[in-house]
Order: sequence, then C-alpha cells, then structure tokens
Amino acid sequence: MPDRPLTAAIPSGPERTVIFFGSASIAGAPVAYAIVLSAVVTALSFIPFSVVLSAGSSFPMAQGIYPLMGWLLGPWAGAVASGVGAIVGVFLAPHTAGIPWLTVAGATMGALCAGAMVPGRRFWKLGVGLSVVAVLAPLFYGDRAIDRNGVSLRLFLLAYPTHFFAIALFLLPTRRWIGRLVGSPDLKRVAIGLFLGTWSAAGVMMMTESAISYFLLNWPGELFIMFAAAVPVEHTMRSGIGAVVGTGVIAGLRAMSLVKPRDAVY
Amino acid sequence: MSAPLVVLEKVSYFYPGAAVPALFDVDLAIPRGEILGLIGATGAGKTTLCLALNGIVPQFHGGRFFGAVCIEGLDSLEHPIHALAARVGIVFQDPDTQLVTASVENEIAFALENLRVPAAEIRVRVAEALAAVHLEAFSKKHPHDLSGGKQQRLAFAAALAMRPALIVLDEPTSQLDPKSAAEVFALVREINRTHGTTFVVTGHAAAELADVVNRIVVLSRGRIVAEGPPASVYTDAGLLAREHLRPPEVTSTFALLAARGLCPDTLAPVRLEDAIAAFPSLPPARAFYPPPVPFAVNGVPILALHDVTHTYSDGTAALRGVSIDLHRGDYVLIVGQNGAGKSTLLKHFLNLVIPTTGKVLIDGAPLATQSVSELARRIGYVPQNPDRQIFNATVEAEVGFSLTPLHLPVSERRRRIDAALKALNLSDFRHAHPFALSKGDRARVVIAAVLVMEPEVLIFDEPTTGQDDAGARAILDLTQRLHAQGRTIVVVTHHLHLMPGYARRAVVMGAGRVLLDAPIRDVYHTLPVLEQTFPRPTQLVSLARAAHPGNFSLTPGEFAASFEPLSGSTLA
Repeated sequence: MPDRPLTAAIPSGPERTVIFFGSASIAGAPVAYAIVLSAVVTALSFIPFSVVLSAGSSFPMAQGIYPLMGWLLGPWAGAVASGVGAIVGVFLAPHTAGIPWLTVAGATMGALCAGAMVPGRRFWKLGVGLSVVAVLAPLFYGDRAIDRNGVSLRLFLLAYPTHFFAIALFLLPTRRWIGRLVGSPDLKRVAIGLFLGTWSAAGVMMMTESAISYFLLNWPGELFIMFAAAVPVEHTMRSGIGAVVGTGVIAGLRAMSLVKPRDAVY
Repeated sequence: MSAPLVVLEKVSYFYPGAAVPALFDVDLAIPRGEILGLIGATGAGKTTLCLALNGIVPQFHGGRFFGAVCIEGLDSLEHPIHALAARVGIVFQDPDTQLVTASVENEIAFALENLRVPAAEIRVRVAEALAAVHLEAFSKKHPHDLSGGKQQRLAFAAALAMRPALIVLDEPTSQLDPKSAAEVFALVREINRTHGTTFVVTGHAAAELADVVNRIVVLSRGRIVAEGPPASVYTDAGLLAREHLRPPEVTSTFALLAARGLCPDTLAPVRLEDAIAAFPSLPPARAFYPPPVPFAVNGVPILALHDVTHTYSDGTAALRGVSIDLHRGDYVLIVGQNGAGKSTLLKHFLNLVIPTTGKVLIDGAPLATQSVSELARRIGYVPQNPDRQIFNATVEAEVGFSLTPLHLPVSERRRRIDAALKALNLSDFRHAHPFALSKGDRARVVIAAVLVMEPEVLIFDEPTTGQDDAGARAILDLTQRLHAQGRTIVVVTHHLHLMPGYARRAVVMGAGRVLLDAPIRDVYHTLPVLEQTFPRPTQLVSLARAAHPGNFSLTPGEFAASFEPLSGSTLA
C-alpha cells in the first residue's frame, strides 16, 4: 500500500469564507457564551469582597468582572450577560445585592463602558453617550452633596480621586489605548489593559451608582472621610480581580481556539 | 451505485492563529453503511476531522478553511450546524462534556426537542434508544450519577435517537473498561447491521477496530497517509512504526513469529479468531510459566487498608471489606470494571473520603491524622481527566504551581520544574497555554505537575487514556524509571495489554471487593476471576490459552519463544 507523500503546506483547495450560521447570537456573540459568562457573574455575586458603605452592604466579587463581559462579548452581548448574571445574583445572593435595581444597572453599565474601549472608531456613539453620563454623574452628585448637604468640596474630591481618574481615562484617548492593550498578544500588556480598563469602566459605573444612591439615601457628610480611605482600596481590589480573572480567561480562550464573538476585543 | 454519504474534497483547516494546518488536503469519500476507522498519533487531526463532519469546524471554531465537506449533498459551510446535526451525530471522547440535562431520558430527548420532533415521536425514539444501549433501568437517573461507561452509552443513545445517517464516535472507548468497550463496539456492529447507519470511529483500540471496521484511514499531521482494510493497514509495520501506532496484539505476535522463521510472512492475522485458526501452521506450543518476581515487602506498609467498607450517602456500597497492603517499592496494577470501587479505593488513599468502617494507615499510623496538604507531599495523584486539574496560563506555571507553598530556593524550584518537563517531553511547550495542547499532552502536563513534588507514592488513574502508542509507552516507561528510583507506583487502567513488563502485582476489584491480589501473570491468566469483572482477557492471553493450557505468556516475545526449541530454564 503506497503512502501518500507529504506536500508543502499550501492548501490546494479553494479558501472558503467562514460564517457562523447559528441563529442564537446576540450582536455576533453566541448566546451560549453569554449564558456561561452570566453564570460566572452570578457565581461571583455570592462572594462578598468588601464593606461598601455607600450601598449599605458588601460589594460582590462580580463587580470586578462586569467590564470583562464587555471585552469578551462586545458591549451589547456583554451588557446582557453582565445584567442577567447580576439579576440572578440579586435573587440568589441578596447579601451582596445592595440596591438591587442599581446593582443590575451598574453591571450593565460596566460591561457597556468596557465594550466601548475599542481601538479605532467602532462604538464611538456609545462612547460619547457614556462619556456624557460619566461627566454628569459627579456633577449632580457634587452639586447635591456640596450645595445642598454642606459637604466640603475638599472632602468630596478626597473621597473619589480614584473615580475621577477612572473618568479621565474613559474620556481621553486612553480609552482606545486600553482596548489595544487588552487585544495585545502579550499577556503582560493584556493584564495591564485589564487593570486600567476595569479601573476606568468600574470607576464610571461606581460614580454613577454612587450619585444615584446619594440622591436616594443622602448619607451624612462624615461618611465621606471614610470613603477617602475605603474607596481606593476597594477600587484597587476591583481592578485586581478584573486583571487576574480576565488575564486567565483571555489566555485560555485564545489557547482553546473557540470562535471569537464579532465585537470581542481580546 | 449510490453517491457517497460524505465527501471531503481537498479539505484544509487552520485553527484561529495557527500557522500549521490541523487538516491538509484531505480527500475522502465515505459510502453509506460503512464503518470507517480513523487512526493516527495524538494530534494527528482525528478530532478536527470528526468536527468537520458536522460543521463545528469551522463554523464554531472559526479559522481558515479550504475545500469542501458535503454531507448528503449539504455543504458544511452553507448550512447551519443544527441542520447538519440531524444528519451527523457525534459522541465525544469525554461524554461528561456533552451531557446537559438532569435525567437520562431528558438527555436523549434534548436534541429531538431542539429539532422540533413531535412529542409522541420523541417518546418512541427515547424508548428505542434506551433499549439499544441497554439503559432502560436508568431512565430516571441523573446522567452524572452514571459510571463512565454508562455515560458513554447515554451519549451514544442521544446521537442514535436523532436517527442520523452518520454517527461519529471520537475515541468512544478510551475511558471504558473492556466490558463496556466491547459493548460499545458490539452496539456499533448491531446498529450498522440493523439500521444501516454509517459510522466513523477514531481511537487507539487496534484490536477492536480491526474487528469492527471495514476500512481504516491513517492521519498524520492532518494528512491522510494511508487507507485500506484493517488487514492491509495493521500489517504495514513500517507505516505503524512511523506513525507511532500499535497493531492488534495478534498481528504483532505473528510478525514476531514470522521474523523468527516460525510461520510464513504471509500469515498476518489482525483478528483473534483468524490467529487461532492459523495455529495448525505453527509448530506445537509448549507450556510457559516463569517463576514470579517476588513482591517488595519492606517492613511496615507505606499504605494499608484494613477491612475497609464505604457506603455513600445514597446507599451505594462502594467498598465491602477491602484489605490491601502497599509496601515501599511496590508497582501495583488495579483493575476492575467501571463501578468496581477503584476510584473510591484511591480516594481513601488520599484521605478524600472517610471509611464507613475499617482503618486506613500510612506508615502504620492512621491516615486521617494527616492533612490533605501533608499527604499531597507524600502521595502524588494523577487524575483521569487532566482538564479538571489545569488552571494556569502556561505549562511551566502549571507544573510549578504545587511548589509555591514549599518556598524552595529558586535554583531548586527551577531544577525540579526542568526535570519534570524533560521527563514528560514537555520542555518545548513550557510557555504554551495548557489548553493549546492536545488532551494527551495535557495529561502529561498534569503528570509533570505531580512529579515535581517528588512524592514517595504515585497513583495514576488511567494514565494512558487518549495517548497514542508512543505516548502511552513514554508514560509507562516513566513510571518504570520512578519505580526503579524506589518510588511506590499504583496504576489504575483498563489497558491491560500495556501493563506486562511494568506492574509486578495486580489487584482485581469487582463489586467493591478485592477478587484477587496476585502476581500479574497469575491474575491475567485466572480467567474465571477476570470474567467476573471483564468479559475477556487480552488478545495475547487468549492466544496463549488457546495454544497450550499451561502457557502463561503475557507478551508477544514470550509467546513466540514458547514455539521455539527448548533453550531456556524458565520453560516448563
């Protein structure tokens, strides 16, 4: 029986266009991916990670990966996965839910912000819309705290330097630079991108959530002193979670050669 | 003559980001009603070809695709996977990955519901499929409560219920005991005969493939390098050696006999029945029983179970009065059908479960007094499914992870990692992501991660699953080297044909009891005991028993020697 000789690696067949025909997808991301990742969000919702004073309960570890959903699935599918995971988490893990509807809204926003961090001009309208929110949230929050409730400007600024930096990262071209880092083949750059990206997206998300919470709860001015100490620690933890979990997941996804969602950044 | 069921024309495929093709210029036609065997070394492209047959490659994985795959005239790139899935059912190597529902009957119905088959028809097909794989008694059970063999049969039933024209079985018996494996192959034959279903079967089970398939295709680095009937492929010694493939034991035995001038070259059976029928052409065989090598008995056993029973919370009695002593320097093979109690036994050695009654001792002291982390430094456990243990981003990080709590000097840490990588031929992959490797390579990563701890006792649970012949031999040779260094080795495997030459002692388990604990030669030839837990012995043992009632050969070399004129003192 003669063996077939090996030939040079130039395929002789015509190259075909590869299309995913499965109809079950959200903005180009297979629904199966969204389901799996929303389950991860739910699972991490069980784990309390810090005492968040503003919301009156602990914050869930899932907050660190809301933005990751946006990079893995794109902004729209990421928002769905993050939001659905948070909704289920609110019911199954109420000890980390805080204000439930706000938790779900924040999860959605975190993924949208991350999904808008892409190189080039893709999703620029989404970026502009979120930028408006990112600017208005601290303005309304500050107005309410300083003008209405007498919190000093210095104390307000001291409470949220992390979030102001996060908003700046989102408004400036650094937003697209972070997207390039997350898409880099070098995992160290990916990790840096995920840390800064989570810092930025979660910062915008948290500032918006805090502003809304403040309108609802009007906590006393003394609490801002505690925020100044607690918020940087919490936000660093959030960003660390995003970087550690995200780098592992992205490295694994790249290695496993699964089909990449259309709007994914990794 | 009707058109082929499946036609692959110049199919080449690159996974996303890959520079090397997983398939290259594959031309293949599969006629209706054929049972096609697909063989090749680990990483040859067998699974990729299977996935290309129902569009998962490239539709799900992406990447670059060249040529065309047509199934019943449907181009795999122009039709959605669900349309192709109605024609091509796939059973994966690890059935755990494809069982998604909460009961056996729901699992079978799941695909049918998705294909919008009417409810009345679903009920009929579920009953038929359950009967075909003999799982009627388990219809209400949770799939994950079934043994590996039954899970494999369930996955098979789920594919069967769709009544596809083609069923693809990707290494369907690699995790099954010989009894369950024989059942699966018997089922393939039966379904092929009664329903006319076409099959593509991949795997390393040469004896079973030679028995069942009509044609064999050999893949190498994504290319078809040979194809033909089993009698042609399995007798091409050069091809098999090049591709690290193993022929059936009877074929290699007769090749050895021919090389020693004891039978003509033309006598090259690939099936046991044909080999036994060829005995009249051979000189008369003699009895053969070399004295067994004594077991190591060095003082207090390093591990011991004394009259251990274990009953799970659902009432399942997994162990019933098991007593075993493992001495330093032992090399023990543990065999038994799925559900015999082997895994529960291993869990007791690792302090992962507490005996319901009886004692588990390490160096004569109760094992329960040791923490799991302390035990991990003394007892290394290589689990059956490597994927459940891998979580680092590089092979090097995975292998070195367990050293972190030991706070070793950097140079010692480096030495251990390098040695483990080298021992498992993984040095070239140290920076790769473990999941970028084939399953066989991932199994070696897990072994390296255990080896790096330099434990006294090493327990391997099905270490050769999914390995080609070279990979399996490399792992077993490693166990032999570790044994020679004084380590105690325990291997649990269904691949009995691989173990002669390695294990000295074998323990046969059945229904939670130790049925026999004896030298491996005695165990392999004590057929009445083996039959309690396996339906048949290895091909070589069957050959030896058929040749002479006093012939206790275990390897082709021993068997061939028993036909030669008397020259050795070991010949009885």
